[in-house]
Amino acid sequence: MINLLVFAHKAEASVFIRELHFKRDNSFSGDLYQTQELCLLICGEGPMRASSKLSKAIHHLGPDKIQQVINLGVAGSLSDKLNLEQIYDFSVVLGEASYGKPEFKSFETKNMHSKNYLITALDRVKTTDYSEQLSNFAEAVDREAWGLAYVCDEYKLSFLCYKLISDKAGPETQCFDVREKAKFYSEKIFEFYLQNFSKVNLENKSKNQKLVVDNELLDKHFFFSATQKKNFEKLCLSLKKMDSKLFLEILEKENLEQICAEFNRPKDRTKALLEEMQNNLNPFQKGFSAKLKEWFSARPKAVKQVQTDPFYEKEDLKILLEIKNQKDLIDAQNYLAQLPLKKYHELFDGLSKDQDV
Amino acid sequence: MFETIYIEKELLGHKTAQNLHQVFPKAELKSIDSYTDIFGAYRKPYLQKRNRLNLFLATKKGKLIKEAPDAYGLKGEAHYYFIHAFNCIYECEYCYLQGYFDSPDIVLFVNHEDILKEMEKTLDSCANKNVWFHAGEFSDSLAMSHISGEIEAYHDFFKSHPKAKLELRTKSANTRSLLKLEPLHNRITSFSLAPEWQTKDIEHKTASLKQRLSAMKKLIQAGHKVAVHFDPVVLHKDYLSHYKLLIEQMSEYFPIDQIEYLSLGVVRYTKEVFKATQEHYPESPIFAGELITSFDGKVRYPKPLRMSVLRNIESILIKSGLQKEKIYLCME
Ligand code: SF4
Repeated sequence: MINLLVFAHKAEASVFIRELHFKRDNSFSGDLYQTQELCLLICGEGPMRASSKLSKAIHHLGPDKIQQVINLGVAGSLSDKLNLEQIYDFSVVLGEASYGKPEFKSFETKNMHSKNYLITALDRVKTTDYSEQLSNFAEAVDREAWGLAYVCDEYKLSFLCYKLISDKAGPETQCFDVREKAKFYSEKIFEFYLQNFSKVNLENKSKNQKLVVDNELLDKHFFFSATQKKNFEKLCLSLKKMDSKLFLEILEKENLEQICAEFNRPKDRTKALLEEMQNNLNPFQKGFSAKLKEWFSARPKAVKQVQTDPFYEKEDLKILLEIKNQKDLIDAQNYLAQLPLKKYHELFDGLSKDQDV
Repeated sequence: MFETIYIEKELLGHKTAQNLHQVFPKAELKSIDSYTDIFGAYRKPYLQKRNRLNLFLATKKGKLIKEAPDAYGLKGEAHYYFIHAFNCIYECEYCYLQGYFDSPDIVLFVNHEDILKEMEKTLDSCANKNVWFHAGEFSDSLAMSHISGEIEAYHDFFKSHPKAKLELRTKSANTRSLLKLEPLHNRITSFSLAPEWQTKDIEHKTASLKQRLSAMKKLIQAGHKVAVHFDPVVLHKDYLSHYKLLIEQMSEYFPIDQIEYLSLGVVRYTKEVFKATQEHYPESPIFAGELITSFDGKVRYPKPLRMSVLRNIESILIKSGLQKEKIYLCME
């Protein structure tokens, strides 16, 4: 899995390309660079251009090879809270729909704890009015992040965003040339990246950790299809949450050995184990369906089916009869007369005295 | 607490606006034309309320009073709720607001006179009936009441309209404004109570159980009417012993028959809110209960289970001295 770094301008990325020995990917029609663990894309200015370049790059690299997309670069400040030449992370990225108005769709980055929001403007912010409008929504403004976040959202890729504050957005921007200080900015961003990146990686690892049950018996004598595996993991988490002691009991050696003794085929063992977990997770439903079985299963031939609401929401019973002769009719009548309807309704009203349910 | 306070231009001189300056000196103040220019103009992720919560002071346009859903309060009486705020400073893991607005930011509406006019009209249309007005459908009624000042605004109205009843619902212990006012027979402050584990683990930032109980005690001692909501009941192993303990704890603070009414309801979700809860609180103990997705897409405990839970708690309450007529089952 690789990290894909995205910059709007090559000048912002220059120190990265030099220091990390990136090689240009000539099979890609655009500015894409690679090392063994990293890719670097120059996406250009403007949200449309940025999103189109990024989707092309993701398609080229393969979305499942990318761990996360990290947008680095410079931004203009919209708030006095941000200091010039400092680097900030952003928790939410907004887009601009029309002059000073945000797009409804916003994106949360993986740095969801940062207090700062970033808005991607459709144009360079060169007037006080424009910067004031945007400052209602965010602390900083750039020209690409929203387009990038949009693409990441489509591909379900994590997105991170760090910006160095180069200037105060507004009239100052007119006489400010980012290129003049590009090398200095690139060095600062690179330094920041080296200091913080290992930390980001660690966070990812711990977040992606799934519950792994280390159990030799399960590995050797049970067979899990992909869906069953997913279900198993879900059940493990829920059971653990509900009753961690019970969870351990179900997965302990004796219990698994007992399932193995009862069922020969690994597939059947898995089914039985999942059923046991499910039943323990839903003791009420288990007791309830056992009760219904006890009440309604011993029935004459003429009564084909007694059906209850699968959602346990309605009290109606659907009964299917097949009457071929007088005896069937009498059997069915007797059966219907003896149905424990009162008890059944009491169960629905929470008035049952039955201890099993 | 608030990052930015947005005030609609025409409310800059309002006394609540001045209050806000004093109470939140660190928040940045911005004047805006209308709260809708910003609130809900973009989708602000719900959990941003932990990080960066904004406050809006605004005038509510459109409908200010709405008919409450069935089984909202005591049967046989008319129930309405009025809208004086959007969103809440607390963070309960089951809160339906997490799937409701496009922003978790707080909006306080200050046009209480308009609300009172609508209340008057509603009362006229329901002659000879007790009419309930509930606050807190979209927010906690008391959490910010010392700042927003609506309790005082409604006091005279309810004093002179004995057939109208006001219910203030809360998970706070903020009784400051109430204790300054004389008690009214038709103003009831209802506290949502739950076993201690629930208050601590899934009702984040709300007042602790002890704080709520002691706030209730103070109100009762000062002659105010109080009610209780055991809603939502979240199923947990040994839920019954937790509720037994809760009822005992209540009795230590005040005689249980002093409660005006008590509502009982179990946790329930629309499809959207359930999805939002799963996304926001994947580890929530709520999911350990036997929730099922029902025929209508709603997520809840199966009916026999929830009914037995409600009946069991009801029976402990009755044994502890609360009259059966004071208990009602919510949303059943
Ligand atoms: S107190 Fe009520 S409104 Fe506030 S978060 Fe909790 S459930 Fe939601």
